[in-house]
Amino acid sequence: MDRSQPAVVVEDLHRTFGTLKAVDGVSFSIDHGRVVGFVGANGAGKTTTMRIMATLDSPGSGRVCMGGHNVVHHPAKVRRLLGWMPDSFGTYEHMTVLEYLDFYARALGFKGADRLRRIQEVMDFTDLTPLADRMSNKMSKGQTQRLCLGRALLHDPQILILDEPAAGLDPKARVELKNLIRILAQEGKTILISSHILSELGEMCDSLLFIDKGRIVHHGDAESMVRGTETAGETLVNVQIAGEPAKLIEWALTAPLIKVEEETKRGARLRIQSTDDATLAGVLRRMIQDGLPVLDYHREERRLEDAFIDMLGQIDRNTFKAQPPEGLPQKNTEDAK
Amino acid sequence: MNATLPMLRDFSDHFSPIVVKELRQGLRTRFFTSALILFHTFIILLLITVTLGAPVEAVNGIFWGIAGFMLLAVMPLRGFAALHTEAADGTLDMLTLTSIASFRILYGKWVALYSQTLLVAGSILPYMVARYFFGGVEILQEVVALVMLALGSGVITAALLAFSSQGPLLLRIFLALCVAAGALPLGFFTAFLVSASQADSMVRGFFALALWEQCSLIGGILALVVYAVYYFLALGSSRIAPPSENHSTLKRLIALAVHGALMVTGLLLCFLNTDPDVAFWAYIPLMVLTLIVCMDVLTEEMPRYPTAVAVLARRGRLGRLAGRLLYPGWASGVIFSAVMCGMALSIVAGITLRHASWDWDDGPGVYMVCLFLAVFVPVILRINRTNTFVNWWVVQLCSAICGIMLTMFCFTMNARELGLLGIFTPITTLFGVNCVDYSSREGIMLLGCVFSSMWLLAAIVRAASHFNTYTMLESEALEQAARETHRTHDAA
Repeated sequence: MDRSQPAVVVEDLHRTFGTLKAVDGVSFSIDHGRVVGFVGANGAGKTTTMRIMATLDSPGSGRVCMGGHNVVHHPAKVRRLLGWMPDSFGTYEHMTVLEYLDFYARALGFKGADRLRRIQEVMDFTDLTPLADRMSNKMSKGQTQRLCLGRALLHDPQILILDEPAAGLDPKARVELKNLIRILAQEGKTILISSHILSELGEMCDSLLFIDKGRIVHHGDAESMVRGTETAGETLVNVQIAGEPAKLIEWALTAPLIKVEEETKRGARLRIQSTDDATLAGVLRRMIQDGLPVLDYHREERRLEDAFIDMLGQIDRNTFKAQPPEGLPQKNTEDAK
Repeated sequence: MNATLPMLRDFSDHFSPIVVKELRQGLRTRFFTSALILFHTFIILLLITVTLGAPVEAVNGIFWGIAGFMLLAVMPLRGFAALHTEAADGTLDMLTLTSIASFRILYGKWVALYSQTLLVAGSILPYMVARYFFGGVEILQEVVALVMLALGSGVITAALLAFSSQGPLLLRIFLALCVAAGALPLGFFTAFLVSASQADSMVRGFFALALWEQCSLIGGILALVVYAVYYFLALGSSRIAPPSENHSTLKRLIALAVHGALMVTGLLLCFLNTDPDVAFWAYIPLMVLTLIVCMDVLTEEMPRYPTAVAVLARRGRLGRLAGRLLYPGWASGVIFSAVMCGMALSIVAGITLRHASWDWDDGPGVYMVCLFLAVFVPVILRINRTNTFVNWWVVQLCSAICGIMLTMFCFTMNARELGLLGIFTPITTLFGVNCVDYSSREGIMLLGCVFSSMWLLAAIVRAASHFNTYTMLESEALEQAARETHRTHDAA
């Protein structure tokens, strides 16, 4: 693989299905050995983009190069470099884990002892050895995902495309998968991983790609993402009160300099238009003076989810005339987004 | 693990991975095991009834009925959803990403399914020997019947596998019914072989032929079966392959070669024999294959990527000219189909020239022109290509069926004047000719021919208007080739 060029180059990619623009001018590049998170709502165009990168779909227009090879002109070369893990995949009936991996190893051209050695390595890496004789369609979701990852790793690909690998996994399986991906990243593989769990992506990825309505809306690391969407001169405060949180919401809607970011189980996350300690202390004092039974009041770091939602909100505001969501007063429409 | 791994180090290393996988799965399915056990139970019970004094003829009929059903229906039906299931489960994508080409996927599946069919066919042999000892059985005819069933099963399996690439269940059922209709003559022939007294003379007649004639006949049948299986598998593989790949040119080249050979054989048989019907030994398989090939190439999607035309585009003007016949897509398919139909009809023309007494419009010649025209219907109707609800296979098959039904109606209801309506539609243009009285035939025939040519011309004009797609892709392919050459020079 030519390491002088980026591992992945996507230029002005378009793909339509009938009248639906699934991907609308997507461009980005990923350097070798980077782990990039691919984030977007359902239907944003993540899977279509990833399938085109994996040579499973064809671009309407634009150019996609993986390891220096165009996915349309040299699909076979791209496939040799690529490990693909789809969001949902079926296993085969009447086939054990070992036979499943054996089949794919054969299909990838491994022969004899070489094939057995590679299967063993992959099974050890994904901790599938104890499950070798288990029927591949009779495993838990986490075990199936490990099997799918193992299959994707059989030919030791340099680029991995993982579409929602953690979807539907329990916390333990998620941690196991995260650890496997971390090891692969340490081995220098280029990984593009899509997920809805943004906090995990923030931890694992060197940078994040945000896609919305078929367009890339942000490409950068998680910190710059959080900072970039942060409104200057504002502070997020998490407040918990005794009793109904509605009282706090009502109070916040009438209070100056305060907007409701999100209602929580026992209170709310408030956005205060100040970073001054004295102003923040003054807000707390007013709450207590107005009879709110405050149990907890602390400054909060912005989360990646907040940044993502803010970003989508900003895009929507720029694109459409914003309509207030049902159940929220007009005043807080923009914050709710 | 270490205990299990050596088990994989076996002779299966020499087989295609798909074959190994499909055999592993196939032999473990309940369907195969249950069908095999049920089949043998029936046959054993049947043989017991013979020993108890049941009439041998009736038992023979039931025996071959069950064997035929098993080999022509039950076993091939396992391919009915083969590719669709892979696509729905998402495993087809993962297969595509391996180094296995789409044709190898189809071929592997066919080998696995067919080897199981052969296993079943082989298990029938002991019962045939046992029945021979009970008496009333012509073992030679039965062996020929079994071989015919086994060969037919291979073609049906390939056809069902190819059509399993289609998504909607109803469409697959419709196509499977068409395959079943196509397999009916084989069933009738088998029944004739094992029951009719004339079959004995037919088999003996075969042995009376010279050795080269016997070899030619057997070789010809085997070659046709191999080609039919190949074509169906190629058809299926082109439907599951990524659109940037070209699976059409090779398929068409092989079709040209086989059909050309059949045409030459037909013409030789026509000019070397005094009996005009002898040429039909080549004409009938040729017309059936022509129909299948035309239906396929006329339903191909137009290519969207220069890679699909690159090989021929880089071969200069001649290559690009050949591309108008061999590039993937229905537009080149129209020209290719016209050539294919021309090859088939040349045998009819040959018989007409050689045997003045033979009236071409009173026989299969007319019907075939109508069926050939039926496959062009989608091209003429192809107004809106984004309409995904229209399946052109269905359009083609329905138009062919409509034509046949109209003719049958005209004949059986003695309503010949209705057949004249056929001249206004592309599917039945010449049926009208066949329906009128002999005296007024000439004028109607002329009119029918004019209409037929018009429909064909319309298809060609429509196709020609899409040739600029090929021109555009050729330019892109040549630019791409130039860029690659520059890059190679730069790297050097």
